Amino acid sequence: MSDNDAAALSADEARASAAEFKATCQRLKAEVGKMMVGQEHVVDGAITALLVGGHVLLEGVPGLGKTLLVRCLSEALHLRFSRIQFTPDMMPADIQGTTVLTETAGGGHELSFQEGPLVANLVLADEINRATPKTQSALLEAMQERQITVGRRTIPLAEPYCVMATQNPVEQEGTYPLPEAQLDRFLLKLLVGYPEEREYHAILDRTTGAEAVRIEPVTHGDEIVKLRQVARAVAEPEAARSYAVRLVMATQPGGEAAVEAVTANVSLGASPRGVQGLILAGKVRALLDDRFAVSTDDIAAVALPVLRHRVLLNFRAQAGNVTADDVLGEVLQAVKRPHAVE
Amino acid sequence: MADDPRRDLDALAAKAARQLRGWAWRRALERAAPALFPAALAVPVATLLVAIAHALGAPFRWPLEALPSIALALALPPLAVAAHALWTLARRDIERERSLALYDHQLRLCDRLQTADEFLRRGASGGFAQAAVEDAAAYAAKALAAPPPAVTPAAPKWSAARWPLGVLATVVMAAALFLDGQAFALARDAAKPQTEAAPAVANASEPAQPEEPAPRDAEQRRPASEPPATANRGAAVGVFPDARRPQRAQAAPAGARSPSDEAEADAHAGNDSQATAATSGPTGTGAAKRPDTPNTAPRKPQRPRKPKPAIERDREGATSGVATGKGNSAGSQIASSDHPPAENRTRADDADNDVEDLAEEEEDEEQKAASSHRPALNNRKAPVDRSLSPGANSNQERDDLNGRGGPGGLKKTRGVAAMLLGVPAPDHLRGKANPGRMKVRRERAEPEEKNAGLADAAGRGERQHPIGTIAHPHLQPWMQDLVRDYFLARNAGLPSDPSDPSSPSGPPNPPTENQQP
Repeated sequence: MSDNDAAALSADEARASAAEFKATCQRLKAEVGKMMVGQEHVVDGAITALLVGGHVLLEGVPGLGKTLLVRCLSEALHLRFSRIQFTPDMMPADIQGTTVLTETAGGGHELSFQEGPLVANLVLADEINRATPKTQSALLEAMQERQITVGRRTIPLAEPYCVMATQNPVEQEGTYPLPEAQLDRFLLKLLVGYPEEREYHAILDRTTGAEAVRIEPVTHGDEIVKLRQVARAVAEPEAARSYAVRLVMATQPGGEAAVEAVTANVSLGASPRGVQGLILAGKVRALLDDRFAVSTDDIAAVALPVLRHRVLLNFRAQAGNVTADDVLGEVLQAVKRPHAVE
Repeated sequence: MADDPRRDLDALAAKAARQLRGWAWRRALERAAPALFPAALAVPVATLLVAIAHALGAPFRWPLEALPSIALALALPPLAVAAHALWTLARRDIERERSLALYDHQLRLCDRLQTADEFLRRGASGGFAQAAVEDAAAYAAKALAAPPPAVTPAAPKWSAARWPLGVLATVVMAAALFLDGQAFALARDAAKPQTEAAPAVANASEPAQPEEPAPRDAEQRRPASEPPATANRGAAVGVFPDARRPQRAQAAPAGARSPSDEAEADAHAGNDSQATAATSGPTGTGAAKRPDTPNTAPRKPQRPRKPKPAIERDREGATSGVATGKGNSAGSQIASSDHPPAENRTRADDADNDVEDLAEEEEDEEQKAASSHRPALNNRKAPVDRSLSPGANSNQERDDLNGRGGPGGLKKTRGVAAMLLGVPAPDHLRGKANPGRMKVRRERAEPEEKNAGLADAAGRGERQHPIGTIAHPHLQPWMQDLVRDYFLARNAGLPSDPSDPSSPSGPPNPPTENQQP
């Protein structure tokens, strides 16, 4: 089903597509939940990004299940999965692929292109901030254009394509902060926190017992591509659009719409990709809430994971322990929703 | 699912619009409320200004009496606030989207109603838009059955800084009414014919002059042919032939007096002309002896003065009372304080001396006041030329024309002259950057030959006597003990403990002069 097909749906077909979308998401979430305990907002965010064609940056201390989540998703989706453990000495050719000399059947030799781990459907970029900016930049083309170029060879990447990167916020020594251009390409930045007490017991039950948990695939790549089209067909009322635009403009320091907290603490605001991310993530949330149009509530609900990595704090904010979530919280309070009664 | 979602949405919008109009009215009132106290000041300030203008001689008065003025002052602020709120409400449009958003917000419908309304008005096609409209129809029917949403505006923010404006309005209104009443009474008294003062004119030794000081309104209402004379004025003329009565005397006009005061003054003038004239002169119209002084001249600004004797304070009080518009009471004070009983006065010459002292003192004050209007007349100098281009305007050379703001030796550290590089600065240093402040002074001196006696080493001879005790200011007591123990131990031939740092074989000690052989 193409985008035009999705737009030409009747109301009943749209209703059926939305129901299928929600059912698939629930099955996927339940399957991941077999292994992944808690972290529901992280699972929802990862599924959301996967279903709208975005990428996810997972940030959390070691041992919280970031890698496990991505691996479970790949198993539940029955997708081609690859994992890249980023290190400081990793070169772009290590992830994109390179031309190697291979021996042919007749005893001769020829140059052939050996694909790197970046050529997959679901890529886990583990500890992405440990690679040098040169290697990190090798991801830019793959994340935005869904292709990689090595020499004169351009390799299109198969859909669905999703990069899920992890980084550790604590061990900052020997790491390279992600450049803004790459941060902007992540649809969501999800913060993985510690589980609750009851979740610890569930983790112990599932991981320390003799019975191994097995993840069964619930869908496949083509189904994911179809669901992406359904998500993009969700209606966008003017109020939701205006609210998303106002939110993004309010994060841009120096602008007329910038709120006071942004002017004081932000050196770089969100880009138009932020508006796209707000609307797309809001559409998935509307579908999961049995609605057929994005609302301002959806925009507000996804504002933090969509915008928190697109807001670059200045030195004053860093010195004052002001986080991007603090600033965005004030932005959400300051920006009035369209037609809202004061 | 409802049959016609558009009709339900219309009904919801109309229902919510009524709520919003009430909310908008309260909101407009809330925004207009801060203007309440400033509006309360309008009538009192206007009343006060008109009363002041009237007291200063303006031909108009505040058209209302006291009670209507107070009523107007009380009624105007609410009316102003209501007018402001109405104006705000008239300019405010209750949008349909806002009405539906009110229901969305109240019933937590996630913008379903306003989204469906937008899609219906826009004619949006597409399965999801139609599904959204159909989805909203059910919620619209539920919303119609629900009670109308309540909109509660925020409580008006009464700034604490505005409360004193209400008190100020009350005070201003009271002052305005008081001043207006006094001015009215003053004008009424002045309008009374001066015929009661005619006998005093007859007793006057000198005819009154047309420049007599009097309140403006009284002067304006008085015919030109009518002689503005009083008994006091005539008495004053007789006592002070050269009196330069200051404005204090002007402040006690005849027109400001009550008939009883004038009658009392007449009695004094007729019975005891000498004493009465001597005492009442300063409070009367001493300025009558200054024909060159216009009676419409502005009064001197009152300055703080030193404490004065009681009689003088009485005079001051009398005049200042008149100056502030208390014409009647001031006149009575003058009559009572400046005309003591005759038996209390033994010698009229004493009064003359007192009055002369007062005149001299006031003359000094006048000179001081004049010097304040024209400052630095005595040591007037040509202004300092601050131009940076000598001779730009004239070819005349001047010593102080150095652009440094004056003939002083110090360079100005502020202003344009300090910022321009063209300013010749005598402390300018050339050479390396930041060499520090240095001063080179070259003195011309001829070299002189001086005898330098050569010391012959052999001729010094041997030391004949011990040098004596040499002070060791840097030697600590423990060092002295250390050295002393060392030598004692060496002279006694005792073995020393190498582990003891204070022993002679311990760590090397700093050499001292005592260790020299």
